[in-house]
Amino acid sequence: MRRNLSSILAVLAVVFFAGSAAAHHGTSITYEMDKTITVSGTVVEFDFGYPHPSLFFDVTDEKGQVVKWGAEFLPTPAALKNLGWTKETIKFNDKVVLGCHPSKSGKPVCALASISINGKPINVGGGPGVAPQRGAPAAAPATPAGGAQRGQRQ
Amino acid sequence: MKVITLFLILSVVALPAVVFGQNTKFDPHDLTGKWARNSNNQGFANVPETGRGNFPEAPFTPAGRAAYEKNYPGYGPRANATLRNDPMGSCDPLGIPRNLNAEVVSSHNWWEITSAPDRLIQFFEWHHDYRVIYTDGRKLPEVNAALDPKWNGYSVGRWEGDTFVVDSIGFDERTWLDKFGYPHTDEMKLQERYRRVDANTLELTMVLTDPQYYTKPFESDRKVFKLNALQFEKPWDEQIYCVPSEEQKFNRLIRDPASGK
Repeated sequence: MRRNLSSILAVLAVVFFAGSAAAHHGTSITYEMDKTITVSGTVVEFDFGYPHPSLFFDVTDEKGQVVKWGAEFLPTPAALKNLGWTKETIKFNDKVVLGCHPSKSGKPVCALASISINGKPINVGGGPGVAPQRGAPAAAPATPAGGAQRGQRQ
Repeated sequence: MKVITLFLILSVVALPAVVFGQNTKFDPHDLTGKWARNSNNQGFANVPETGRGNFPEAPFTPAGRAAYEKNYPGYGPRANATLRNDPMGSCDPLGIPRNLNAEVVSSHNWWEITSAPDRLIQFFEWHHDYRVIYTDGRKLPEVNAALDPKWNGYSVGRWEGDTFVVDSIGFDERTWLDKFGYPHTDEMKLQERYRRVDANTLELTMVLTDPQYYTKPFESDRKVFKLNALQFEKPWDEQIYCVPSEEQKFNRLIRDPASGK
């Protein structure tokens, strides 16, 4: 019971602080926070650092071209560590499926809402596979064979 | 019976402290400790109803308004994704007063006060920065061309009853008052008033005078800080550090392309 309570408080803390942690970089004016797309790819690099952890991964599009993608986590490393994350949670060559808020610029960059690593959903603050922002919807079901579905409204 | 009565009395007295981890005894003249902001607002002054934003109209002079309009925050009603030039976004020093009310206090970490016989020192985690407030009776230096501005200014403190009053001058004008982009000149004078209202609560109000940019004294809202109310309790502190090379990489590979900057 105590463990459950701690987990709930940890999740609530991450949810509560996610917005303010991202605030000075202007998250809400950079990403389409009311949209969530699904992006699948292979991990190139995971930076578990401040101000926000970043994930870089290759996505193969429908033409077979590899597109370099980047995603930022909204919680800080301290918040994610409290959920059990470490710098080893995502490794080079892992297969990832992201629920992501697309950038307003249309570039292949997004703000992470949910993630599955090698087929396993990992909590990023709002429960497994659930967006950490208050009121944000969960990501769409993962695309089975990779590729990004841009502009998919949830 | 006496034992039971004694047990009940002790329970009533001790239980809240055990359950909530609170101390009830405190010295109002002891400000030392780790303080995490409890009030929601991250501006120097705020619209009370919303808890966010800033005064709709600061008492700007024309020069102050012009300086304000050259600052493009990433947050608030004037947020600008492509022109944003918040010093925090490039790991530049936050200075005072922003070190006291920035989001780094709450979500990223806290600030701490420690003391020596002749001074108080405030430590700020985000930049691993510190600021000295002299309490030995010295006078502030004269503001003139020979005085080098400092990011955190020159500060002296004194007690007025149970209120610790800090007067500061000599600030570097490259810092913002807050993340909404309110400016100041190097002639700004700032007064902070700290009051420990109970064992776990520290309150702060500020007022600045800066005649070049503000037509009258510009007052902050009341900031509230809680002792040891860290976001996540751990036996060791998290190292939370703004590293310029990491921030630059984040901006170059994530934020700038995302915003079209």
